[in-house]
Amino acid sequence: MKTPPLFSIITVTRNDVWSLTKTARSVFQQVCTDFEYIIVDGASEDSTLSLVDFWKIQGLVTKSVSEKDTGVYNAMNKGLKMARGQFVCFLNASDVFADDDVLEKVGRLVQDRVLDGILGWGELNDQIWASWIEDEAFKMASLGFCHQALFARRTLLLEQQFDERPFKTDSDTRQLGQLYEHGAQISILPEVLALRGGEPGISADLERTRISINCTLIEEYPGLSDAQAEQIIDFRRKCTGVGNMLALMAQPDERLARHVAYMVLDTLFQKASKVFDKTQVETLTDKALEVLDADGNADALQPVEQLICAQARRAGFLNDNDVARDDLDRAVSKFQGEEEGRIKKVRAALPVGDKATSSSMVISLTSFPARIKTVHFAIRSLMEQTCRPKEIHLWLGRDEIPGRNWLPGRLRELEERGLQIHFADRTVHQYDKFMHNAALNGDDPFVIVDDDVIYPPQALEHLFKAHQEYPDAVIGNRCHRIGVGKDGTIVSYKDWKREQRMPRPSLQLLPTGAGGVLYPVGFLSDAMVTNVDDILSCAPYADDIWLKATALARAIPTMATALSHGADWYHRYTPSMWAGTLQYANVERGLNDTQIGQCLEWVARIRPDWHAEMLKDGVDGV
Amino acid sequence: MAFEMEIPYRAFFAAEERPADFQDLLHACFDTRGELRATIAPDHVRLEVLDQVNNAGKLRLSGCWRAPDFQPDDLESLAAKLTLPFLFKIAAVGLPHSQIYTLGHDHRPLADFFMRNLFLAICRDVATTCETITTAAAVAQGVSDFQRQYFSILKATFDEPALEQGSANDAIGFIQANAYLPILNFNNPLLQHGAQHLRFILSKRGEHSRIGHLKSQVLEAREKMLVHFDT
Repeated sequence: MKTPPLFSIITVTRNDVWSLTKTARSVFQQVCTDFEYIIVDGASEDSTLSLVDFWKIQGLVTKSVSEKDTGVYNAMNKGLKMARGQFVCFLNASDVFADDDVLEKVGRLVQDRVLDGILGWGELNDQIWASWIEDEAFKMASLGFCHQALFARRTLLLEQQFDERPFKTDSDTRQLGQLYEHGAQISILPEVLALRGGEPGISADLERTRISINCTLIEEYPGLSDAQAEQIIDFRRKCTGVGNMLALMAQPDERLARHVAYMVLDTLFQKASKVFDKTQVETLTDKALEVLDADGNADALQPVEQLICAQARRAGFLNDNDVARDDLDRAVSKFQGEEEGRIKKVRAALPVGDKATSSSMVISLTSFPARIKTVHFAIRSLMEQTCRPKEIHLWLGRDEIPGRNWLPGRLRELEERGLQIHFADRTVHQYDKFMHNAALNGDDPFVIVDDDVIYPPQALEHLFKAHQEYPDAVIGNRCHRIGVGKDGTIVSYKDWKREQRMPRPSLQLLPTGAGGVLYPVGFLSDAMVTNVDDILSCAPYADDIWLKATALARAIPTMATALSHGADWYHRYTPSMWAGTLQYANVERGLNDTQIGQCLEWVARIRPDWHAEMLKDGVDGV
Repeated sequence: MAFEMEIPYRAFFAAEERPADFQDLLHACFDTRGELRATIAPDHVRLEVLDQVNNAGKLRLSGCWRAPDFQPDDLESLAAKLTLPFLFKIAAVGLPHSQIYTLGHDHRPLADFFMRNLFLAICRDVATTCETITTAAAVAQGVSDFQRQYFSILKATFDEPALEQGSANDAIGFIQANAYLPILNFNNPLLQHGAQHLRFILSKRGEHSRIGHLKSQVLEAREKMLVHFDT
């Protein structure tokens, strides 16, 4: 019998496939591989199963199930019963691990010490869920935590399964409180282990969570009335009813009083507590400490010291975030100055901008929060070209960037120069570049570019001229040559020759978006290109590879421009080029090879002779 | 009317070196119904008779507490008060005329005169004020010598094996530690009760200190956290 893995990572999902791509990639990128990955799908009607199949083929997904469930906790219990690992973590769709070494870090701790689990911290947009109390009082202390950062012993979780009642939204908090109540040794690790998904989950429904938390409080604290439970929730959310909390801390039920005291202290560190005046803060603090010190037991005060340390550390993390933001802002300012200088020289030397020749090219790109402060550099470089595009479209996901008010001024300024900014309801990540507006390619050549590259002033001119010479070919400023072994098989992506060009269009060239890729009229508007099921089962993380596959399926060759040469290729990158890059997963971890393999199988189903055609199309590169 | 004199430090603590004109000072103290005060300086001791204005009848000690936890009210019980000179580093002692019960023997040092009258006053549960001065002003050597003087009186009064441990300094150290931890077991119930009472009070004082400290830490940490919510 195989040894059970150390971890079971379980993802619950339903109709959220593009969020699932983030989660699965995060699991894939973990340095520690001693885990099984289980996906519990609630009979999704989108392309979730296609993505699950991709990851099964790759070997990441160990088990999966897709069937109706009665809610998220029902699904989580289902996953729990499927698991075999010693420790379980629930990382639901749109959640990701904070780093690639989370499992390694936690694994070391649980193996070095006799623990029933590790509870780390979670983060979302500068909000940090900083758990601090290792006690049954967890049920009330923070009225919530980041379950994505909990790694608990499977056997114990099975004894305290999630409450599946349909109205429950806090079953994870209650479960953890019950684990502590039953003596579980779950140690808190004051580090951010997970980033919560930005999409609203069940806990975003305030009314529903109120009902759920009220129920938990009344059931866990038999002496608590419904009104008192409401008072606790109001205090927690709105910091109202100071007198009510003082009264609760003064009532005779010591356990309740103690837990309320912890909750009060925790609340003092939440943003909502800014409404308190100095006297209220001191009164609440005094009463809470008095309650905790009531029997002279020093142990009751120790969690307060843990709270103080946790909050100091939380403040430290937020400070680090502020420093990183300031550093980026400084880098952007510096870069801005350098770009102004470069553009000035370009304008002096070349006919760019208004002096450029016009073209029918439609440019399209996408971006995301980590690069939103720098994408304007890339777009501006596309406006300072010797060949002017017809249109430039920027696609953003509203689930990542809620609206125009979130955009930097320098980006919005470019709208006056013709930039069109669009918001899709849900991002499809790098596929945002063309999925929403592929129909524009029905009439005009369509150029896909990246959001972190400063394009040289003749980049578009190279593309357009090559397009005029080869109107049916895909044109790329940066192309790699597909590596073919002596036996004719495709070799690993990392062994392909980079930045190659050939004297004529070839099926053997893979154009990459970093250089800018022009797709001939009708290429993207063909329905096969935007088939989500196929995309997700073949190349969920590599739009370049997918588009190449669709080219091979139609025997459409690629022409590399003169820029596609190592020495000529080098473009400048914006300061945030490494943010959110897929380089690690795709190249270093070999995911590109999986995607290439899947894509070529798909091509073979459509065009069985593609391989022979490609081999015949080879010409020695220059 | 004030009378004062200075005598060499060594002479204050040395037996059979009581200056002859100390008697004049003593008489002046009784005549004026004043306070006889001895203040330790690095190389001398100043003796003076002072008017009693606000401290009529009270013992007046100047010095500093051995640890920040102590407060005068801690020594409310007689039993605890007996350890006062070990917990309050005495740099100056003022005896009101009404509390001078013994003139001592001529062969005993002046320091014995002051400490013995202090001891007797404590035994009578006389009201005492403890004025805190800076540690710089409290001469270390004088404090120790006063403590040893007092210890010898205590030891002679109570037949206690616990007071026979090691040298006088050792025993004084044990008495001081006994205020926090039960390391001495007195046969005399008065001394035993006094030590227990002191430990109880200091334990509660320590807890309050801890609570106060925790509170200030909570408030300080909260202030630092709230800064992040300003933007």
